[in-house]
Amino acid sequence: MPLYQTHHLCKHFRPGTDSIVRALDDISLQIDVGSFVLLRGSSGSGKTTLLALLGALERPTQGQVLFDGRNFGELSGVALARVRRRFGFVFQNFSLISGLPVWENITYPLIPRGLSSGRRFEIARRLLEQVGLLDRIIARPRELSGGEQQRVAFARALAGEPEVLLADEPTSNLDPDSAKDLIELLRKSHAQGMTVILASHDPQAAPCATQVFELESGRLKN
Amino acid sequence: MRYFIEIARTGFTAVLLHPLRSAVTTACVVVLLLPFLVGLALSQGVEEEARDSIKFGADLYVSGDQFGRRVPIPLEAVQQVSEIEGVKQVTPRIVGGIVLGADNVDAVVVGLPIEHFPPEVTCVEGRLPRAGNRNELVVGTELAQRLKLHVGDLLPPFYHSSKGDRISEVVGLFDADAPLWQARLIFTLFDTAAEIFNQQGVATDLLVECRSGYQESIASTLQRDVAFPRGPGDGVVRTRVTSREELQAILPGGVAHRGGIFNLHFVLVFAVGIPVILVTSGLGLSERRREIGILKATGWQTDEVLLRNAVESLVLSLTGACIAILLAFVWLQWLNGYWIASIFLNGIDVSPGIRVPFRMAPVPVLFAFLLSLVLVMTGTLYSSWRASTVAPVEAMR
Repeated sequence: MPLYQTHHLCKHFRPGTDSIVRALDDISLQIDVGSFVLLRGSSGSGKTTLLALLGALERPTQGQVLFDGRNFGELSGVALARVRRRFGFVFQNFSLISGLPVWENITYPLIPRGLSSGRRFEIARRLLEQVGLLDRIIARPRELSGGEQQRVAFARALAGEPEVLLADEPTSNLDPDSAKDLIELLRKSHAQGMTVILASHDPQAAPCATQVFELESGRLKN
Repeated sequence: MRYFIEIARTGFTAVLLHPLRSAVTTACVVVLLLPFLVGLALSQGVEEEARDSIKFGADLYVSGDQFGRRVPIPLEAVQQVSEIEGVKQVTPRIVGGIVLGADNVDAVVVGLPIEHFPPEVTCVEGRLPRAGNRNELVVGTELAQRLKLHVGDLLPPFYHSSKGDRISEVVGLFDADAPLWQARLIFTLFDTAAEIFNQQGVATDLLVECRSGYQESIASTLQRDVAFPRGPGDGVVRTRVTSREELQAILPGGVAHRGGIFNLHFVLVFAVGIPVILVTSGLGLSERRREIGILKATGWQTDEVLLRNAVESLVLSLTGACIAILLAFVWLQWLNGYWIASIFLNGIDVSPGIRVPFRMAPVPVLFAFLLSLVLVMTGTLYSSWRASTVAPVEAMR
């Protein structure tokens, strides 16, 4: 059963000028519920842009993204924000808020859902236990290593119990051991029924994938 | 409800997330509000002091009137006015401005018969002028300090009259219930004042005390029946009567006029303040944009981000206003308006020797909160709105 469908999806930067950048061009694909999708391709091939479009973080220049039958292009800003709550994001550069302690970083997405700080602290504890960082619950991101920060980012992505986990090169800034740990965490999430979409060069990710899309210069490679 | 409380709470913590920006924004608010609050507090203090002076002053103030202008009133009027039914007491008074010292300090000479010296004027040093003695002066302590005058000092030649140059002697320094008097006034006997201004036979006005219930009838009699020939060819001097109630009614107009000018100046400062806050709120803007991008990417809606930032701005503006109010109070109460009182009050030194009158009224204080809120909201919400309406990915770049 398709969770995502994209039709002739395009993302161009500086359209209508001589210096147009065709980050994505005519992408049509389908992603099934519960799959582990691997987006592969060299740097600049459009993996991050495709992930941003699938995560409703950006609007396409042309084409459609259908998620659960709903066209992102037809949704209002509020509806898009609500759709994003069904996703969990893991960014390449971690994107943690430096002034907040780890537990607040993890559960910040839950604040608009009206959860009390006590309840959120409990959720953070549970997630940090899963990623093996319970002892760093009140640490600040700058006090953590890259691998630890990425695990915190991963815990934040899981905090809202998302249906889809989108991860953009999550292992590229990590040492091999940390990268292996993170792939394992993604694999476990998939095993629990989550749809995982991973943009990565990492060969360790390949065995987990149930669907693989290869991108080259913004186009899908056959 | 919990939803709003939790988002509002993040607004509070956001203040501490960007300490430099918060500190600079709060400091800007304080710098803008402090002179405004101090100025209004001093203005209110002066108004209150003036009200008290009017309250304990005469029932009627009678001066001459020629061609619709206020002119001195001949001393024959004292007798005429005293004979009107219901008049308890008539006191002639001379009030005039003089310039003293090498620095051309403005002062006001008040000449009264010794028996009518205001009871709230008490000598802290020396004595009051004695009846019959000429050229004796009692100087306000603040004015004496500025002019470096002491009891026994002679002022040569203090004035030039038709009788030649005269030397006057400072016989006392006075304190008054109304501190501003100390800053500008010199009390002397009526006759000395007449010689100082070389105006014999006239008073600038008469202070009339009335028996209860007679005030209106005396005022109308004065205006209707009393007039004096001023001299050959000079026509007639009519009387102009101002009652205590009329003075009380006029006072707010005068204060409001000065307050209006002050407010106008402040509007200009305010207009400059908004861009200043805009610039300061730009401190750490890229970090804030990134933060907003993260919030949007993780499911926050634009209105939720704006609510969080509005609470943050509210906290900053309230903090700024509270600090400004506190500092204004400390400046006026404990530092006695050091330096700033000399800007707002005429005749006051940089380090005032008098107790500077001030009153922190509730309306200006509330207005300060409002101004602060408008300043910070205008300065910060636009940048937040810009960051929260772009695509999350763009904000995070």
